[in-house]
Amino acid sequence: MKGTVPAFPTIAEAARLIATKRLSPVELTRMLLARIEVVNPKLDAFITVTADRALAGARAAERAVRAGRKGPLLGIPLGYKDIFETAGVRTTAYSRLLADNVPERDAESVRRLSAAGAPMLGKLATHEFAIGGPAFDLPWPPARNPWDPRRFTGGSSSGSGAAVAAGLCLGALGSDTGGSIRLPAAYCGIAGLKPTPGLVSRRGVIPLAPSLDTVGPMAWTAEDCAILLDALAGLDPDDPASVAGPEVSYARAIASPVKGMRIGVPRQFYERDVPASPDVQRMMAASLAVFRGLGCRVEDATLPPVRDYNAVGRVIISAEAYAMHEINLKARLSDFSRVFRVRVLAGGLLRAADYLAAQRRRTDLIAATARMFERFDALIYPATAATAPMLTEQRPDDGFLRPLLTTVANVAAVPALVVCGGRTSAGLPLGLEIMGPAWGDATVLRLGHHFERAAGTRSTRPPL
Amino acid sequence: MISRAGLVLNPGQVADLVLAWRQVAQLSASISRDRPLVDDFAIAFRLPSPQPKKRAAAKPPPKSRTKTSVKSSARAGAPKRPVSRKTAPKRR
Repeated sequence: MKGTVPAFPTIAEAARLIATKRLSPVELTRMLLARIEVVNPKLDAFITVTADRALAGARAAERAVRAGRKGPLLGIPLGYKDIFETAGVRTTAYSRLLADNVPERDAESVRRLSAAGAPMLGKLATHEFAIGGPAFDLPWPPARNPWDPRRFTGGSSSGSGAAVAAGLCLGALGSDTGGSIRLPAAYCGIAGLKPTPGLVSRRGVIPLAPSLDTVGPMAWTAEDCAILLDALAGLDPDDPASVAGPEVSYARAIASPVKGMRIGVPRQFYERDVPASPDVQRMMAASLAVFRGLGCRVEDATLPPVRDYNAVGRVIISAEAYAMHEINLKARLSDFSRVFRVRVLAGGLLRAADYLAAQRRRTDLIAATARMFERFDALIYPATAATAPMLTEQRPDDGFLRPLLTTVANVAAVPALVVCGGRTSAGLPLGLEIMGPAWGDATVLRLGHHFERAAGTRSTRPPL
Repeated sequence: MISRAGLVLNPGQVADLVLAWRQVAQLSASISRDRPLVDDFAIAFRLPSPQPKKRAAAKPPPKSRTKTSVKSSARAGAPKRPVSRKTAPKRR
């Protein structure tokens, strides 16, 4: 099997080339491992590179292709956020507490992707236990943004965002409790999906706040996220929240035209609640013009204020994250990073009544959001109010001070996709968020796919 | 509050916790607690079924038939007929 390896193939492109024996999975994996060796020291996207396992997986995929097996992930090298358990491979959650943790089996999502023939390149940087921000008091450095390594990647799936954008892997898994897939997708200029809760198994993924935790794909395009979701979605009896989900091929569903779809725009989100920068306002105006050009009907929508969703999300995350880590917080407090302590410790002071008030208010917000989807197929708004900040600008209490637009979808229990909406004159990416109704994952992927094609935002990679 | 939570903190950690607690307490206080007492089940939510169309399209079982012909029992194993456009639910 011989052929030229494209410099930055998407999953869809690589799969077509592999299926027609014009691209060797082994050569593709070798190329990515060589790029990781050169680029990773600048970005710190990978905490662990599993070159031997990756090459073994690629050789197995190549044998399978020769034997006539087909599949969209056969020989597609992927990376996993370091909170996903991987058999025989250290899984640290970026914490001293798990510095030597070697799980015995793969997380269900990792198992499904491996079974689909995707070699594992390694484990990706995160924030400690998937919460907080970039920390400089941990044994491993924070990931850096490939568009400008002085800048923040967004988090907590920070390594996943950086690695995919830099072309170090073709796709990655992240987790999302308040925006942890979509913030790095926005700041790093890639696509990232937070699926409907229950659609993707969380078994074997170190939890942060189980009421809100989701697992989802990150890749260069919405189409690649759809391909990954096809392998990931489905009932897992070992995750109590798991559901069989709709009977649909996400990769096929995205091809349907979007003409006539009804798009709601909650302008209050980015004009009043979390005022967006002029760059983001311009990106929104241009993006809405693209959707109108695709034949979508675009109208204003009104939702509860972003601060309401954020208050509920932050209280639930604080209480549940503290509960997850209470024993270690009491016994080994100084082993945690300062950012983690600031974000989580206050959860120990919340009362049960405060937590239940947040859960009850959440049901109102879920209902209010669901009502909006009686009028609209999807809601569109910016993923962030500005471009990626400098790493040095991050404060430990940022998570409380600045409301996140992404948290709306977690609290509302709906799917949301971030795609690259454009770039600033300085070349920094801006994220566009497409939120759909529960089980409308195919809808948001379809809109994202058509937007990417019409807007032409997928042609430029970071200048590394 | 710190001792009630069972935490042992140094002065720097106490300062961090005070900073964080002010923020969390403010967020928590902003959440409405004014709900009807009968509303106590609102702590749980249930997503709609992922297959609403199929459920809506399910036909009621046929009314009792006393006789089962050979033909109809043979048909039981045959592939189901596609749902007609008339009976299919409208897309919401």
